[in-house]
Amino acid sequence: MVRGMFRNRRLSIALLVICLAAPILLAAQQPAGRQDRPREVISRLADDLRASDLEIGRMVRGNRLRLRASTPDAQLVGRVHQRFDQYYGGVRVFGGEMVRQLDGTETVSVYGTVYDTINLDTTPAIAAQDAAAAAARMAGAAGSPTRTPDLLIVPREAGGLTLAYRVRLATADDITVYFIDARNGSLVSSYSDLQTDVGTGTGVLGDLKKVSTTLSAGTFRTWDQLRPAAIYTFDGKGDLTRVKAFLAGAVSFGLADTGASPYNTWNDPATVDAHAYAGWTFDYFYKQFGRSGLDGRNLAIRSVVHPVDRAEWNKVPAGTLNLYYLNAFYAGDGIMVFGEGLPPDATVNGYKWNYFAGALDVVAHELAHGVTDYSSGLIYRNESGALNESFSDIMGTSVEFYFQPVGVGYLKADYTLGEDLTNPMGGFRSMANPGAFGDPDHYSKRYLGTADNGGVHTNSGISNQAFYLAVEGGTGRTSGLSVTGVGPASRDKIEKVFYRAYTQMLPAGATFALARAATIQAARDLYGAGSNVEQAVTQAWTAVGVS
Amino acid sequence: MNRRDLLVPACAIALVALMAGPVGAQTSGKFVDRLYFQLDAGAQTATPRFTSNVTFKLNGEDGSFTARYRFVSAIAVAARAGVRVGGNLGLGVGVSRFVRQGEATVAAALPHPFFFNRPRNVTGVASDLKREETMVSAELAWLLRPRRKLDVMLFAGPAYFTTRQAMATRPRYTETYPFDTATFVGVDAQTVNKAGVGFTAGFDVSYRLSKRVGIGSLIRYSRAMATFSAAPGSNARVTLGGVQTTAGLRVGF
Repeated sequence: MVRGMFRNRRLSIALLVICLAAPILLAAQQPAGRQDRPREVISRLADDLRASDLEIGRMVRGNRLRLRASTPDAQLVGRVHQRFDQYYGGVRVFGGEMVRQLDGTETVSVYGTVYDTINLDTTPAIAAQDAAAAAARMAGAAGSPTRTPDLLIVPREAGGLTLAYRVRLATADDITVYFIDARNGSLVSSYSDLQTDVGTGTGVLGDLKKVSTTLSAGTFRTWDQLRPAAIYTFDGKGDLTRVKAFLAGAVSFGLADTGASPYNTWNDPATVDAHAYAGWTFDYFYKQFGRSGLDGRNLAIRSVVHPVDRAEWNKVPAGTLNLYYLNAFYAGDGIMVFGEGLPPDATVNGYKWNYFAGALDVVAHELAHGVTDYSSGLIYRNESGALNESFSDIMGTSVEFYFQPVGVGYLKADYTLGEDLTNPMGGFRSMANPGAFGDPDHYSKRYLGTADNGGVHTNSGISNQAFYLAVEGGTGRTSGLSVTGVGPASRDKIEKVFYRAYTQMLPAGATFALARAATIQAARDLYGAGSNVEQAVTQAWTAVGVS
Repeated sequence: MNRRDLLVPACAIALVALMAGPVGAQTSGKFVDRLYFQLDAGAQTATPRFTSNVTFKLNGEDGSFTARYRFVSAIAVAARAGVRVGGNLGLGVGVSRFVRQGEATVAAALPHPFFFNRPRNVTGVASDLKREETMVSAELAWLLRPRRKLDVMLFAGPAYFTTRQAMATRPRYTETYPFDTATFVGVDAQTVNKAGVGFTAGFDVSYRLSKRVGIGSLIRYSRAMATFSAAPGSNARVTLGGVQTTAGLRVGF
């Protein structure tokens, strides 16, 4: 029978054709388009590009595709990017787009997502304002539309397409896009339109940094949502009256007051450094001590830069100059204000002063005041105030050592506070040698007057010197007593001892003697009685005259 | 090609030769068929591995990943047809196709969201990176009938390959604050269509069950080169084809 079958020449030829065609047919299989899932268009090869060009032409002629934008390429001269929106029955299809790259008149690439099969009535049953009202009810009373609702064809999450209004609502802490069914006012879907991102910017000293931002309404904002605590950096725009009103609680700073960039490339160095350094400081406390922000519960960190106009520096009262130009301060409730510094050609005390946000140790110092505020609450006067200041100096320096290379110069970790702020490089306190800035390195030399809240910025030198000696070792200049430090490689142990003692063990009205006892106890708790850490801490306090 | 790749064709050819054994005493004949057809199924036993290197933007910095692709054996289907143009010389065409699952060992460097030059290194295996390959060849064949029911065909010729390859374009991962580490969970993939011109060569041994119909086994090696681009600026030079071993129906007229 088989032999007979193959005697039939026609049958044989048919068999040959089937044999050859079957694999080709298998290879050519393409899934059919579905209404609820867009077809992806990826064209980079000549044949595909021709087909895509033809498809775009057909869809444009059929009013199913409309050119929305034609943007010159900023990176390749002569290239243009055309963006087409898909339409059905005169209504835009949300997510239906074709993007064509042209080099002159030649198509270079086409990418798109297109819905092939749409079949629905495009006449809405409710008005746009009804959809806005429905969305506002869903968002709560605080929500208000940021744009006029637009009618779209949108995919349902459960599948299929539907006619819906897009309503964009701003609430106190979010911007949400609602798709409201245009037939009955029900919710089709919603999503937050705030998008976190990472930009880059140049800091005060010309160094490139990453900036954690949020995209809102097409503009990147200095709002860090990547860290557990929200970190905002507000631009005071030199409006001291408004900044003071903010500090007094009379006005609120919101998203519109944060730094803004259209492309997430940041050129304002004060904003870059304030924002990045606040994040780094948060990271330091988290990684080194397991602390979740200033209050241990991820309190939002809010920094204010440009509180005043630099150009006005020589026209303002001395108090304003000293506070808002040549200072940085913690204002409570997680708010920091960073001084504006001086114009490049101006000097005070022989120094040119840069933006105060440009010094990592200064930013960390101010944030550490927040930590103290929410922990031991060391009273900001006399010895407890000096311990408060010293703790901020210790933390500011420790953050430098955590993130910057050790050395001398700008952007280097050292035991001098604020050295990055001035030109020539100076600083305002030294932990290695407090006497270099007129501060005491021994308890016997402490300031006993009433100025500066009882010398909080002066007597901090005693505790600072103790910390330095416990780490690095050496001989107290005043006492002549030598200390065997734990060494730079074990600096973190002394950091943990001082953090533990100053935030968790000391009372608000602590004295230097209590600080000595608490740090020794902390060293024992963490590293054992008789450990080299305990010995270093004990010797250090003795060397600075605290017993 | 490893030892296992050769095992199947060796067994198939041995089987055909064994079946031809009983007629070994018979005189060998001349290859008399004018037309021949073959319909086969078998295995694509070896597909060359390849590596792709991709760079991508993440967190304001360049990230990178290397994917080393490998493939498991797959069922191949093939059809060949030809005509004897004179003496032992034949001209023919062939089509073969296979779909095989592939996977890639991925090593990626993911830029940190907060700091430059502190990449998180992750590794893992990405699966479902399917390769579909269709080859159409034109073949010059040398047709032999060493024994009465045993046909041997040596063939070679140019081949045109069309390939669809799922390429990893970007690693997927999970991360949590402080983002110093990340965990690999897979890759985003994109199907790349490529074509290439190369060659195919092989031999076929068949045994006649009747005057027109027989069974046979074929082993061939095919090769072409193509450049796959998984992402802009990232090209992988890929060898198409490989070793294919099939067996099936033989028909001659």
